[in-house]
Amino acid sequence: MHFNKKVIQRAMPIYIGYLFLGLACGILGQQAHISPIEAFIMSILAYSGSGQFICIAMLLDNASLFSILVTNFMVSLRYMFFSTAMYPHLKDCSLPFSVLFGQNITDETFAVNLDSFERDKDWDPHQGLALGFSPCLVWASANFIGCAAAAYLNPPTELVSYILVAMFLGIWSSYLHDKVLLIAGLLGGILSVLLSFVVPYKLHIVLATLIVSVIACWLEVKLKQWTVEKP
Amino acid sequence: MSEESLYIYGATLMMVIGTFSCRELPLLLLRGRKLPDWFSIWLKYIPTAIFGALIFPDIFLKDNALNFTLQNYGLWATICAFPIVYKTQSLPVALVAGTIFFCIFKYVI
Repeated sequence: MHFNKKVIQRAMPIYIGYLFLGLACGILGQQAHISPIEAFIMSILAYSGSGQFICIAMLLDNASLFSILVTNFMVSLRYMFFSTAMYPHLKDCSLPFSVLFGQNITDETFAVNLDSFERDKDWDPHQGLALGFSPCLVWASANFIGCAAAAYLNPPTELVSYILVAMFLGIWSSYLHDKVLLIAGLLGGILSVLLSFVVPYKLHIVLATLIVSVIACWLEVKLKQWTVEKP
Repeated sequence: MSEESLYIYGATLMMVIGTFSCRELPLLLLRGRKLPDWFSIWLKYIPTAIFGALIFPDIFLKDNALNFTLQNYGLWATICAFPIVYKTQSLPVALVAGTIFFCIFKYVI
């Protein structure tokens, strides 16, 4: 790992973003009775922003570990694309190094790293790892501080639980690029409410997501085939 | 270790398995091979479906029953905030608008 001034300059916007999101995540985590140390460990090991917010919501809901696993796996699927795109830059690295590098891929560190690899010929995997890992320390520390501060300040539970919903609303909106995606989201929501009456272990979130995304994907693939056959 | 801590560490382990497998699979097994086309189409629909599926039960249900009363502050706050959030597609706006509307419904109305 090669940590230098260039890494700090490129990672600065990520540090600032993770600081504020981490504080928020820590405060919300405290509502789910996560201790500051547990928040820190979770942040270092999982290192996934929306993954952790979703996990907190499911902990508050007393969801089963299986449903936490499947939900988390589905929100993490996007990392497969990031790792695939990173592979050409890592193919000469040792196995343990590649594994470590892969663990530090997030939406933001991936974007900055890919840009750096493509534009800067002096950029190497060692600086790339530093760029991936240093925001993780900011994220985990901010989680720790947020969690400890919330335990001390004791904010009103009802409002803080709603802030988590508002947070999801904000993240959701960033994915709503067109009307079809909005409809898919609304259908996912309605199905999730309906399934929650009949499905045990809080599996309704996973099931609603799977059913809606698979049907939407199937329809889009079929529609593409159909337009190719009959132009 | 308390039962609560065990649950939280269990959830952490589940997250590690979920994120680790997705991050490492392309590096260790696929060795950079291209992912199929249907996968990217499927992936496009997962986030919107998952956040819809998370938000709706949170705002529509109270004690496992549909609740459309004025006391369900979260529902009305979300309905009021959604047009603004949808227009701006911004996380800070969502947090501020959501909080303001929630407080209006809880403390003013």
